[in-house]
Amino acid sequence: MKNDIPLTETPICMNRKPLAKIFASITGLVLMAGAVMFGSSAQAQPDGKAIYEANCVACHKIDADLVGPALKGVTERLDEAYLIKWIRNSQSVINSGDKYANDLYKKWNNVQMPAFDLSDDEIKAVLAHIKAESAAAAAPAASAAAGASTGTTAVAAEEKGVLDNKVFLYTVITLGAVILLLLVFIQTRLKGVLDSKVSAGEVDLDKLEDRSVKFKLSPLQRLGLIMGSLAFGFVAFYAYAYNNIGMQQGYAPKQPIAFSHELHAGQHQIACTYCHTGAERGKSATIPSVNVCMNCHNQIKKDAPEIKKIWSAWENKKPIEWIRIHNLPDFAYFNHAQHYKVAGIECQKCHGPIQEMKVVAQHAPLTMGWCIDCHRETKIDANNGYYKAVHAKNPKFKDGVTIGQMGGLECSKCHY
Amino acid sequence: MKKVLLFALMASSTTFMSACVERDAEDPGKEYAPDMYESVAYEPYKQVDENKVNPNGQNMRMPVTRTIPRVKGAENGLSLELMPDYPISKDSLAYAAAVLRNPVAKTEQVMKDGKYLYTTYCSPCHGAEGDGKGLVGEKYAGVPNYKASNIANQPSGHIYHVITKGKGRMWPHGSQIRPEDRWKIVHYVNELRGYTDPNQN
Repeated sequence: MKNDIPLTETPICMNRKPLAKIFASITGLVLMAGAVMFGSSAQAQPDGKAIYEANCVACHKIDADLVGPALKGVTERLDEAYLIKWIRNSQSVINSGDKYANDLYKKWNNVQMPAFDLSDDEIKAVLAHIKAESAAAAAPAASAAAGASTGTTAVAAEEKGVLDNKVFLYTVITLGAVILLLLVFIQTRLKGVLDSKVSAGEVDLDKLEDRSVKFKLSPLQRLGLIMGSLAFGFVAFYAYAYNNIGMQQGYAPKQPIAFSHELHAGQHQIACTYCHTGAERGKSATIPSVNVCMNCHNQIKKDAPEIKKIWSAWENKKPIEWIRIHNLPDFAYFNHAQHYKVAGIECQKCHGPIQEMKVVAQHAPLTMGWCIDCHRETKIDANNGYYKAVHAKNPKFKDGVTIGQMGGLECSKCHY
Repeated sequence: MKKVLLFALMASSTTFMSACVERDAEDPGKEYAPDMYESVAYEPYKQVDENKVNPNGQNMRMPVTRTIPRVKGAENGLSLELMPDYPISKDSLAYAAAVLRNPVAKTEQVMKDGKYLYTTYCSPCHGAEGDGKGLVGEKYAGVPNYKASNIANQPSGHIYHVITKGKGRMWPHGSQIRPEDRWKIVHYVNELRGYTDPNQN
């Protein structure tokens, strides 16, 4: 519909448009001629902001030190010609023996500012932009300090929940113990009173009405009770064994460094294989060595206590002893590459929502039954002309081929 | 008899209860016949006891310095470009940039792999577009824009050397990325910064 509007409008503007067009093309021609005559200097003013953002923001901020010093007021500190020389090739200024340049270089740990191949006009535009930004940065400084302290409350609340549960449990146990003690106390007191009365001859035990419950069983009932409690014990033991023997689901030990997958893989979206490089190529997904941590933490949060542990490991050449969570017995073979790279399974299928875990817990049971279930159900991706043709001919495979049908249920696939 | 019955009842009910109670997060549970679970041979990523022979008590060891792995297709000696750790130092960036040539031909598949590898290993800092504005890069600070004048026209070998050995504040990524994959990344980075490698057709 919208396409129709210009068509209806054209006749009305008919006598205006060509004129405007001619005018525009004339000005265009004039401008072009100007550009040819005066060379590049007659082009539109270089965009200082764009150049600044493309080349400078990586290392500089206006109002704070970053990799290099804060740029606020730099145009007042130093004259333009000096700055142009510095930006174009800082190393040559340093080598010329200039004291200010050498002091600056030393102050910033001898990090060399790269040479920028920019024209005088471009540098001037950048400097103008820095000047404008410096003036703007002087005003809003106080408002930033207010919004800093949230974050910690959620963790505290979570910990409080756990604490509440424990307090409740302990209260119930103590209360139970107190009641038990009280009952024992009452019983002994009553027995004492009764004994004293009997010995004083006030009460004749034989004449007292027997209110105790008779507890007499026939041999058959007795057998039934024994068998019943044995069966109950067996079931209980089986339940215990099923949850505990060879089952590590939910295992979430405290690691030597409180590394959070939620922070790294979740918030910062670092790919799993950045650290676990082996997942694509081999049996083990591999635990990253300290240098991989240091790739980022040589800069980020250097002073945090947990990060200092990485630093001490790096400086002392002592590997971090992470606690392994996902353990398969030695008699079962598993290969990450086969599952991640070949089958294209997401890490989360077995490891759970790892990008949400602050502390990693074993998500899957990792039992043989669990492996087999998946091998029975999952269809392979036979993306191959030959196999497609073969499978099409066999009625058994008309709904696709599962891993089980490919031999994925055979003992020797994993046990050898 | 009564006492025995009572004891049996109590014992079974306590076991039942303890089975229902959730296990402590620190407790990995029990293993039946652990001898069969632990490998007799040394496993790099699993060990129960301290290794008395190796440094740090670890099963894992560093490769002997200056050893070169056998690489498929490199029967006539390994080219500099495919050595995982070639003998050019971090400082000799200009030399490496002049000497190293991309041995991986640019194909559609290579570009696809390159993009995947770039997204995995580089984009956290350098950003999906190579503008240095990745989620980690913003915290790391000082991540350059590939289109910046001092990077845009560097030869492919420059990028390769920086990936392998690091540059300035960037740490080396040679231990994480295989040589062939590094060259695939170089192809993709060239595309991001709009650079045509004169040594590639």
